[in-house]
Amino acid sequence: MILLALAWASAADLQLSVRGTGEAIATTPVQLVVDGGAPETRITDNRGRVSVALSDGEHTVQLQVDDYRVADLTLTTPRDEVRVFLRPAPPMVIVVEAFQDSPHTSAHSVDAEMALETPGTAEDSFRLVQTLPGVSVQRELSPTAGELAIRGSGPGDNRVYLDGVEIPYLYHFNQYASVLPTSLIGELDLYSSTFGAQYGDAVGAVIEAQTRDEVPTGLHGHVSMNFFMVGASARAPIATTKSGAQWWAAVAGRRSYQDLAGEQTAQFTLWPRFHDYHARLERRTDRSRVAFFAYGAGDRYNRAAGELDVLDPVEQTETPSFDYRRAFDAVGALHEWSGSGTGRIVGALIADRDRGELSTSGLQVKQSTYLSSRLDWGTETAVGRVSMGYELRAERTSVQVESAGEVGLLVAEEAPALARGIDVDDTLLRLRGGLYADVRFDAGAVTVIPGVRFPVDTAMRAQLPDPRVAVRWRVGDELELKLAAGRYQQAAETEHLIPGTGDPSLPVTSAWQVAMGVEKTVANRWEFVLDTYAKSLDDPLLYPVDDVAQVADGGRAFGVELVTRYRLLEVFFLRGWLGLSRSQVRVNGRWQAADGDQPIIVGAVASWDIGEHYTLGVRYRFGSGQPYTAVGSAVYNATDDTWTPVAGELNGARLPAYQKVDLRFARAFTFNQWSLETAVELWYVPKANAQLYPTYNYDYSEQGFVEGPSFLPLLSARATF
Amino acid sequence: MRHRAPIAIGLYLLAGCQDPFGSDRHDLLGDRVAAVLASPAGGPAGTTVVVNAALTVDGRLWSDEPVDLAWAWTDSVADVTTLSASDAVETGVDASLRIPSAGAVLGLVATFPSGFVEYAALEMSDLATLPVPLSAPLTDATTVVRDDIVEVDVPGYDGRIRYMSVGGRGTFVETSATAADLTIAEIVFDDAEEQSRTQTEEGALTILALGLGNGNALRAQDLWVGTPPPGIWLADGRFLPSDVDVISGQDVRLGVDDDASWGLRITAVRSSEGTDTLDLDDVMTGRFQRYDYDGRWVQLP
Repeated sequence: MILLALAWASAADLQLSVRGTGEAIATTPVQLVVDGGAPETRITDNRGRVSVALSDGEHTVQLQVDDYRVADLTLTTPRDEVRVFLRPAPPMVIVVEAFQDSPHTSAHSVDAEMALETPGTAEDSFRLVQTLPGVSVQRELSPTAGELAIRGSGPGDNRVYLDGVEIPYLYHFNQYASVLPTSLIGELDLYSSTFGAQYGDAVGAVIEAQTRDEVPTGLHGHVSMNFFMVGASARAPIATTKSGAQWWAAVAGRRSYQDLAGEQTAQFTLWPRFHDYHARLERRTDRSRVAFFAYGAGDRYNRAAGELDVLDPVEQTETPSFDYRRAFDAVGALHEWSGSGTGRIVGALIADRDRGELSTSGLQVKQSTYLSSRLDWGTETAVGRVSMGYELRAERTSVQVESAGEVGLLVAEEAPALARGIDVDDTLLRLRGGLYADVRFDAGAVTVIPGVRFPVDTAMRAQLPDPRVAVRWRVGDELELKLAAGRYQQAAETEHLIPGTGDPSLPVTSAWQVAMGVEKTVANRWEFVLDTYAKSLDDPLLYPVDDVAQVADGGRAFGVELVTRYRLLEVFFLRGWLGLSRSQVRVNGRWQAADGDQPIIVGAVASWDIGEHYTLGVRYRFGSGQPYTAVGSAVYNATDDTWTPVAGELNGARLPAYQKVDLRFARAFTFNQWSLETAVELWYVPKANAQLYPTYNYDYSEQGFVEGPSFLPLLSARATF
Repeated sequence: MRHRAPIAIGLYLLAGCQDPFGSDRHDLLGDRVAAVLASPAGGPAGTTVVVNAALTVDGRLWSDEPVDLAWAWTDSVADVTTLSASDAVETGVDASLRIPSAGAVLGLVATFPSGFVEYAALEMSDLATLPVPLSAPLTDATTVVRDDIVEVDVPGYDGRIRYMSVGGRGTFVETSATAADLTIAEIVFDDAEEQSRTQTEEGALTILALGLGNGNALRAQDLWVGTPPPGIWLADGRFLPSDVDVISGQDVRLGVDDDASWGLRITAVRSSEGTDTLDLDDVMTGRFQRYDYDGRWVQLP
């Protein structure tokens, strides 16, 4: 296969680039065979160039580079520099996630390849988390579509970090896409429970995403478009200093466009729109990485505070509109280093704004500005590897609520404080975080990692230290037993501690957690994982829509997960799992289903790159119906001829089971400098499972369900250069 | 299929949908508290207020059995559902209560003959002046034909009028604070578009106008779909079928008639002998049950 293009420069220089992106194949060994002679190995320079000494005339040159297909050239010299575009060859790398050397024993990882190829995730790394074992199956396009309920925990029980900085909110409008573009995400880890002492202030799970840190060899990026949004990104080197440090930069941005394409209606005077951005400037040396970053996101819409189509014309004109905005911006710096020890320190200033305003009267504004910093450092010592660090967050949160009366109930989902009818104007300063340390002891095939975390929170009473331990026992080459246990604590978010929107006396929720499991590989490639877990919670919090947070008597969750994985990097991946679990809270002495209770979860994902140009993927998800609190009765309010709903038993009702099949078929068109991938996705939800959320008639005497689409084709395109 | 706003946040082209409910707030169906009325108006704590409720029983304004009414004070509307019989400070119709404090909520627990219990509330803080009586007719029309659109109105009322139809006959679309268009057909709307239309059967169509504010006011009026049977239209717009010729002011003897709006018909007539004047509001407030009138002589207003 001959792939060449004429270019510039001197006679016998070959410049090697990757076909599809044009990226230089820099500082890489290349084997040259000229005119059928003896092979000769050279190293390309940092621009991918290699020189070949040739006499004048016609020559055959064969190029062989690892992970690329062999290229045969016919050159006539003298001539200018020849640019050669090599086709990547699948590296045939088997990826095994099991047997990780980490205190986080319940871990799952995803990367960009999986995010881009898994059907139904809108090419989003964080959406892909919802396709991992132990994560509850959410109904697509429902108000809870973006929620992460993991191993029985509630959506608010988790922490999500990007390079060590906690993200204020994860999903645009709690559905669609995450606020972080996949193009800049390198890898993402989910720690489902019993994570190590490195993380705290969470009784649920931790998600830690890392940005891509490889230095680009040239200007590269992408432009993409799907049914929801358009996006673009670019990465480029800037300079290399005399000391060898490399500076590079990256930018990315996305915006929804439905507000531009669609017509405004009385129901939505401003269609939901969102955007996010990310910019980075990095300096990279052999032993360190310094990054300066800024990123953020914004969501906004303006809707009628009510369902206009069920109202009389006069009521429609009297219905106020509700303007909702949510945005955050973060700016900060990161330093990672390695040497006698490895470490990471990161600091960021984050401004988080949440505002909802009715056109008549009624306002809820929450503004939170916080300085976030964490240090993670580890080194090898005589007794084992010691890791320690801190996490701190200095926060100023102000809440302003101008009550709206009864109409506030109509916007309770977005502005819960408006629904409570209490004026609030308060500010709370708070410092929270923790110090941690753990030590890894190796005793033959057994590794023990005890750790402890000391939580700090000025808004709460003193908390006890959290002891944690992880044990791994490697039994042969293909089997590992693992055990982890520990105590975990989580304090309420600040708005829930401010009088009016919350209760300053709320206790810290604590949980004892234990997880045991077996990791097994077959032929060192096909993985099977069996995990069991249990949690016992004290003082879990409940968040009723029309009231401040309440304290339950207790909580518990337990379950078992069976997972299988197989992955051939850039060729094929398969992931299947079955989860059985229960999650309950005790209220007034009675055990009831918790928000995250989904007794049966089944999932399977597979994607296959068929040749160079085609990718076929399938995803299947099944989940038991989530519990919800139905309206139990209603009071006829004769003052204004309305009905006031009264909640029934907490989580006393369940949605029907949900299942969904996603198919994805992609076709790639590869050119020298860029490639284009077009994809069609088909989603299918059986009509019997398409219910999204309950609705009620005017007096709450009848309940129905809003149903989502059953069958839907979606198109997307992505150009990469 | 009705589109819903929350899902529209998801994506407007992918809007979720839901089968429309069969009835709306204008339909008085089954057992229901149609209105709670306070008169005379309340005011500061200590003021005495007399309260009543307009009721439909099995989709009718009349009943053969009484509805148990228990009245009690609560702190909030939602608390009404926690009331028990022991909380009641008064029972029955024309309950006379003393307002305990400003801003109190009067709760009503109505137990219907079927066993169905409905909770209702009236916020006393809104009672500042006397309720405005709805004395004028809601429409000049008395008889209508199918698919007619009749405008009903309470001009000059300083507040919101809510219109209801006994048995869910006809379809209301409220067009202003005091007026509505009444279509003589049962129409189901889906996403503001007409999905189905069923012709209203011939017979009595009783509409209620509830004036909100100052303790509320209520007025009921009959329309007849098609040609009414022999009977009399009373001055307040209500129709009583009759076996005999009759005029206002006469004494009449009443009998039961399940097909009549008020469950009653006139079976005989005589010259006035000073009997009590018939007030059909007593039927819908439960002051009297239908059988209380069976065979009884009353004077027509």
